Amino acid sequence: MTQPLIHLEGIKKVFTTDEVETHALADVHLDIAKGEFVSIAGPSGCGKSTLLSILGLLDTPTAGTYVLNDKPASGLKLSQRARIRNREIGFIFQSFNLIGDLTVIENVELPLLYRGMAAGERHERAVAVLEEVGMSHRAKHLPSQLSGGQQQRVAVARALAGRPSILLADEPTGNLDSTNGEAVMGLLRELHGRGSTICMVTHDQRFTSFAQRTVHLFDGRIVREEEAREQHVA
Amino acid sequence: MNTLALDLRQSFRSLWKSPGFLVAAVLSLALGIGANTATFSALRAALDPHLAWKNPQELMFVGRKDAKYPMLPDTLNVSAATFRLWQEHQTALSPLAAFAGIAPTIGGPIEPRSTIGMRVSPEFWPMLGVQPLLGRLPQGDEEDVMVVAHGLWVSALGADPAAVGKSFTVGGRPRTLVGVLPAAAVWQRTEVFVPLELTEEERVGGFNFLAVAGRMRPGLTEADVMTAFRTLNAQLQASEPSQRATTAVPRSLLDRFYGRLRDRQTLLAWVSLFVTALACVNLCTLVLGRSASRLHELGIRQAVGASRAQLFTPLFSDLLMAAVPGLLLGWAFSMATRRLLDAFVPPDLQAFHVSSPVDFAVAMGAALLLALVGAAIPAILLPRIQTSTLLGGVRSSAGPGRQWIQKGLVVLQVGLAVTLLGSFALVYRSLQRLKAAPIGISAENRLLATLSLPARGPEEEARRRVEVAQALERIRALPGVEAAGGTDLLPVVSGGGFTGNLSIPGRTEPAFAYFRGATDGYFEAAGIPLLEGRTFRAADVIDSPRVAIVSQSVARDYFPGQSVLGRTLPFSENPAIVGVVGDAQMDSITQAGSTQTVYLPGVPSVTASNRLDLVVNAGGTAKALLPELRRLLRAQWPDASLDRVGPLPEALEEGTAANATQVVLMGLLAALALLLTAAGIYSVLSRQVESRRQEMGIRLALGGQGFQIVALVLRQAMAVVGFGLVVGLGGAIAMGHIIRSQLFQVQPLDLSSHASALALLTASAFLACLVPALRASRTEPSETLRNP
Repeated sequence: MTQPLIHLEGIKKVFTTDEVETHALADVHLDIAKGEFVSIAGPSGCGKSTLLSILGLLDTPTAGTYVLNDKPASGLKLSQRARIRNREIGFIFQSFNLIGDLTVIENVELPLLYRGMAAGERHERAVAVLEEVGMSHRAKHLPSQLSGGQQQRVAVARALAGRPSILLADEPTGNLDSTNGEAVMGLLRELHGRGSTICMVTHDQRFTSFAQRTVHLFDGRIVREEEAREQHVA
Repeated sequence: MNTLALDLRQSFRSLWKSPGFLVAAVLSLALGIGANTATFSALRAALDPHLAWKNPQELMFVGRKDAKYPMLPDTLNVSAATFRLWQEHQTALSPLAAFAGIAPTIGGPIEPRSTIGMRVSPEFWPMLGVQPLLGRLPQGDEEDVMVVAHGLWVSALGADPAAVGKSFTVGGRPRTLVGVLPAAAVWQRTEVFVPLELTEEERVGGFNFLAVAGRMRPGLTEADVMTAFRTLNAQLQASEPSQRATTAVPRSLLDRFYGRLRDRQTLLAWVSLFVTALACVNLCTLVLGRSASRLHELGIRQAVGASRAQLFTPLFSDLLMAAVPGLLLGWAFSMATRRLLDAFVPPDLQAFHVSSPVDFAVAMGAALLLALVGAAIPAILLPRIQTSTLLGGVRSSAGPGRQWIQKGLVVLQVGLAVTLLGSFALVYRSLQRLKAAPIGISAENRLLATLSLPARGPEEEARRRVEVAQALERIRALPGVEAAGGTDLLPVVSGGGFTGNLSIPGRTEPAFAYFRGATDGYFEAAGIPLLEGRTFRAADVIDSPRVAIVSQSVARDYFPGQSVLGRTLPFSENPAIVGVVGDAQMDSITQAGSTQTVYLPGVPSVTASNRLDLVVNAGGTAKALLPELRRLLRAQWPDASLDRVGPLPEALEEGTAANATQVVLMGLLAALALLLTAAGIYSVLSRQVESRRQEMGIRLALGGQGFQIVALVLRQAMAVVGFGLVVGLGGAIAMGHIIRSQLFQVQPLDLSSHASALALLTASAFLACLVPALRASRTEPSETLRNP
């Protein structure tokens, strides 16, 4: 195997509240190759979201090594983590997490704005990704004027806008009906087909088959990994 | 910049939808900016008066301290002989000038008008280093000339440039107007300057009537001047027998003129500082609340790569949206309070108390600073945003750290408000005491007429007395008049005046007293009770000035245990005491103990002043008599200046007007502070209740009653408020000590003042807490448990 895009080794995460210690992750080893579509599955409370937040540099592991794109990603300062998030990682959340008072295009431009990109280039890129997800016709709308499926498409566009190394999706269909869920998963699959690396958390069995590989978590440990026998065809 | 533009757009949309934050922030900013700007512009006038004198900070006033009268201030006037000695022996101030106040009537080609004037020595003009607006300044020992201030030139001479060179009468003496001073060349309220020509009596007598000022020699500091005068004092006290008890005391002229004003302004500045701090804390509270409601959004921004600095701009942009209307409203607020603030600025400086670009720049600066502080503090205090809560659809809520910050802000707000309210209560009580202070005269149903009579020579004094007696007879004949009398300076209204030592034989301590002239009927008209003997009769006034009446405090303090009737006083024609009357406050109300008075018959009397205060007790018909009284006085003295004809209570009110304005202004600011605090408490508690909806739902689901929820919320909130009350009480007592010099018969620790401030704040805080508490008690358990 070539050098993976993501390399986790011995990752441990312990939450301490008052005098209670909660071991969310224990000795997690995981590699994700560039261009791979990995799904993380498991019951509620097994540590899926914690693992995703560590992968996305939203949180730091208590112990272990994290290497992203050949660079160590543990022990970074807040500003360094923010910079890597902005350039290397695209997030897709279960509840879309669009900013309600910004228009569709402004939401998509936001990561580019924080990157300091010039207005013209930023706008062009935002329009392009909105076209990619089929939402350019709603560019001037506010999120509240869109359906759930459309909002998630915009969220995908925002994640793609920065041309990240990896897309991290947290239950991307969790707040959608089956039709819209299928559509969003189709979009992810399409993106993967074009070379995107995707790591998706889901507990919906229907969608694990979209991934090439599924990692099963239980009580904070990886208990099983399975390669997809046949990938879902949209 | 791009980020800020986007954030501003977002803020606009968001605040348009729910303007509550905007309204509260605008009001907070307006209050902070308004208080700041108004105070700044008033302070600017007091602390940095733009006078046309050359380097006014180099001017020094030299007062006299008399060791024989330690109770008197160190700003006493000096005799011509002392002034000459100082001129000859000191070198620190050059030139050194002398001047003496007069109140002449100016006439000639214009309507007679009483003015405030000054006789100035030839060194006066070189000392000030001023260029006249028109004409020239008197030179050397030039006589029969005058210079007028800009104000008089405009009001009395119609700003006519041709007035220069014309002849006028000043105090009955013809003088040529040689120059007009520029508007910024103000010497307190002086309107007319004439050369100081000493009479023989003034030249050789020991009469202390000259004030002295000089300019520091180049390179010297105030400390150098002090040192030089200490040496001078030692030298003169040793070599000149007449100077043994005299000490020359130099001080900055600006301090001498405007020091009292600075005291008032200091209090105002403190109040302003507190209101500004309160506005700032309120802004922080608002922004914290706003940031709490935007925490999730800030988390999203952080997730897509916003740095900590980039997280600041959304909060700042919210405040920037409020800053523009806040600035305009604050500016309007400062303009509205300008009229009130004018009462703190002496009339001679009001010409400069105008809004300027500097004031506007200060307002702008204050707006931006408040917005920056308001946004920065919450941004700094914000705990690290829990971006991980974005995953799994979980929303974050205010953690314990944030709650402590909010509680801390409430404590700070309550503390600041109690400090302000406590200080206001002290000043308010002080004004009440001031108004209730016994002044020794009755004002009810009394009219006061103040006249400046045309100056005449001493030989015509007897004729003037007859004229006064005639006028009083005519006034007494008016329907409804119960009594009428005259004095040269009415207590409190016309404070100060001639004072001296009674030199009572056998008494080693000085016997300081005020000297007043009074006519027959004066004590009855002014309601000053007769305690022993008799009051003046018409015959005393016209024929026999060898009698005197003393106040109760003179009899009690200087002749303890003795009857004073029949005793003679060792001055002038050794008048015999024929009566003892009640004490009346001779100086200003705040000048406690200024009651020792010797009354001599007739006006003009000892003061040789042309001033006449007539008091009329007109029963219930007082106001109706005013036109007739005015007509009668005008007929009696066509060439006199009628300075005031009106109800006596109104004249007395003027004496406390500045204090009353101070109270009104402080009251206004304190009320606004109270409102801000209540709004702040309400805002914090509403958010806390909102964040505890699930907890309240659980409590109610477990059988808790509504009143128990109300009690719980109130208990917890009032505990925080209580802590703020304790902090504020300490602040109020400390403020009381700082403003002690502004208080009249009220101690900084005055319990009732502080208790009323605490009670008012507690009641307001209770009401502010009650609404969220009631809302908490109406939580629907099923809803909150279903949607936490």
